[in-house]
Amino acid sequence: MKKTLLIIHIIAITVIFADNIVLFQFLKKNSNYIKDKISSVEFLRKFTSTVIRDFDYRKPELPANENCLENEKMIENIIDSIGEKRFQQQELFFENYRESGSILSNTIFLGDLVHEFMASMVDTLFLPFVGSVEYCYNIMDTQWCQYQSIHIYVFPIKVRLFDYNPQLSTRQYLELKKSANVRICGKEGIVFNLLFGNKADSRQPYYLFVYENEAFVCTGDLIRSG
Amino acid sequence: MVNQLYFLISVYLVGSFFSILLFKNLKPSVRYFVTPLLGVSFLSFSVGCLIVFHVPVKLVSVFVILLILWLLLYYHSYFRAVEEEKGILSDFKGYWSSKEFISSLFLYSIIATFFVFWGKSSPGSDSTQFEGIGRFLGNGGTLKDQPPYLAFLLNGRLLVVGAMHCLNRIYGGYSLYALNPTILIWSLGFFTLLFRDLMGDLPRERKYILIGLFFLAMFLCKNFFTQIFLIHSNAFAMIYFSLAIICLYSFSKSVNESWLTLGSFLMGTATLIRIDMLIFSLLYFVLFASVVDSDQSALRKSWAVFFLISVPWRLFTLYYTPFNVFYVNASHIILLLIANIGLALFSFFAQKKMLNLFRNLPLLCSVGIFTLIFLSPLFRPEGLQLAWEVFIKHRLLGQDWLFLFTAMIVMLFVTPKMKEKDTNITLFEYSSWLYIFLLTLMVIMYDYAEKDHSAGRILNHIVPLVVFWVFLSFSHVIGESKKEFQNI
Repeated sequence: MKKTLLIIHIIAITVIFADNIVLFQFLKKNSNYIKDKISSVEFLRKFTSTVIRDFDYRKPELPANENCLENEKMIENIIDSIGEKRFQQQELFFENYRESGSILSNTIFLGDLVHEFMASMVDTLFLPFVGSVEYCYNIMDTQWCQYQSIHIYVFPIKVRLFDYNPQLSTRQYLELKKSANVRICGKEGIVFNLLFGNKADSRQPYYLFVYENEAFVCTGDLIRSG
Repeated sequence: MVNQLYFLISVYLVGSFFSILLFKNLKPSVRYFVTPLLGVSFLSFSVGCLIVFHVPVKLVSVFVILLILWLLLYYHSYFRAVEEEKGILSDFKGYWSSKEFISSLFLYSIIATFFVFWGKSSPGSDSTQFEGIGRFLGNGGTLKDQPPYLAFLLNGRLLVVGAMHCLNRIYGGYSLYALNPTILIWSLGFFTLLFRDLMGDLPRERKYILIGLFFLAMFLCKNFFTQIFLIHSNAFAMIYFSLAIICLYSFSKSVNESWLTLGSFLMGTATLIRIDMLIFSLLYFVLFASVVDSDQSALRKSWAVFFLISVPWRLFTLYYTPFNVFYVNASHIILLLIANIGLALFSFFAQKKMLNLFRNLPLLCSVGIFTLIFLSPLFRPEGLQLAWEVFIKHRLLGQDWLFLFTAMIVMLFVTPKMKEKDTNITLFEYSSWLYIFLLTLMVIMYDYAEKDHSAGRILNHIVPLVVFWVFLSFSHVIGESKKEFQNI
């Protein structure tokens, strides 16, 4: 009896060891190959239909941020604004969320950047997400999912939804791009540009504008003068 | 980064201030291992208190609440010591200066430093709200500021993980990523320590090999490992819940009542981490019945500790939760509270009047839940279909849980024989299988048919229990089952 007990326990322990992360990572990397091989045998395809159903863990290739080069001048600007230590921590935060599967990353990057760089400048952040009940809101090539999260990231800055045209013309875009104080790469090719208004002024309302895959946060005055 | 390290170390230090007053009958190594978990709990209680009273979360206000809690516990300990004619100061003597305390703090700091400087984390969509609510509170926000999705944030994101993000921001940290890995690796050490204490008698060499294998199996198990870096509440829920169940087993071996208090404390905190833990607290107290027997005082104390921690926060969130919101609505909270209070009242009654029935609660509940699942096609056929698709087909029979589920089924064959060697080992069997039944029932009854169903993540809460069960049972096969466990 002891022998039977021993064998059954060894089976259970072996099965637990088989459920390890190293083997799992290997299977992830070779998922398509294994799936093809299994599916080529009809009996196995039917037998393992559940097990291999979603057996493809490979993340889709993220589009490279070709438009987004955080040049040295820009990094210096960032360090001047928030300090080197804070910059390093922010970079780590951005890296982790850029590589994550979260579709909310760009939304919270917007909140994070406004809070980090513009807390003393912004009175109210106006967002154009009006009239949509969808989870994600698209403007040109950008997507903003669960935009309500921005409130908790920028607090105590107020957030208001406002019905305005957030799309920039090419002329406005070129003007604004020249004056960007901070330029940071978001996720999936999105580029964030922050334009600080006149710092001597008291807090002002700021708006989100978009041109293709670039997001701009600036005052309404800059748009009108642009 | 250094600010985050300061925060992590303060979690341990806060815990140590409380562990000096609590669970005094447990041996020092257990108390030192449980210290960071106490730190997380008490810091969360403090943030919770401040939220309830609409006071912005600042370091000073957190400190004041901690001090009040500490003084309350101190006077509680003092009066108990007077009753038992002991001096409370004798407990304090040598606690801080002991080698064990210093080396445990040192080890914890090394783990924390490693993860802080490694900087690895794995955020998902849900992580953004844990981060966000932490930042909102850290920037002085209170409920009066009415953040969007308030009910969802209160019930699903705030305590305990959100509170930790908040405190990290107050310490000057940017994004909290190292707490989860630090606590998980630390808890892995705690599981290993408990395994060493509870395993059967073996020759020295075999013992160390088995301990090493246990550590490796748990650490490498993919459902444990993938949670180490994930910014979410599941990893904490897994640790607190699994430890609570192991505390029941430890009590059954040692008859040391401190294990029950610790278990109920951990279970209470688990309900603050995730609201669904209010379902699994029922499981904890059903299993509790099988170990506590006729000890009425232990039952009363444990329910009191549990209710003291879990109920006030839920009553508070109930006030802010309408009946028509997504995630968790007011009727869910009311139902969960009634279920827990109902079980408590029934337990008190059954223990006094129907002791046999009380002892067999785990078996009766298993039959009851299984019957409900069996009858569910009559009242919720679409729910059963969903449970089959989402939960059984994709999780238990999918690659996510296939191996662990196989191990659980294999272990069923040896249970009758192992019960002869160690009656109480069935605690692990009941806790794992009843958990799955309860979760299946939850999926059937809860009307949420989306791809991102959290049942898969909730299932991971029992991973340590399954591994612990298999290895503990194995140790009884290759060694002698211990009869006495006075030293735990």
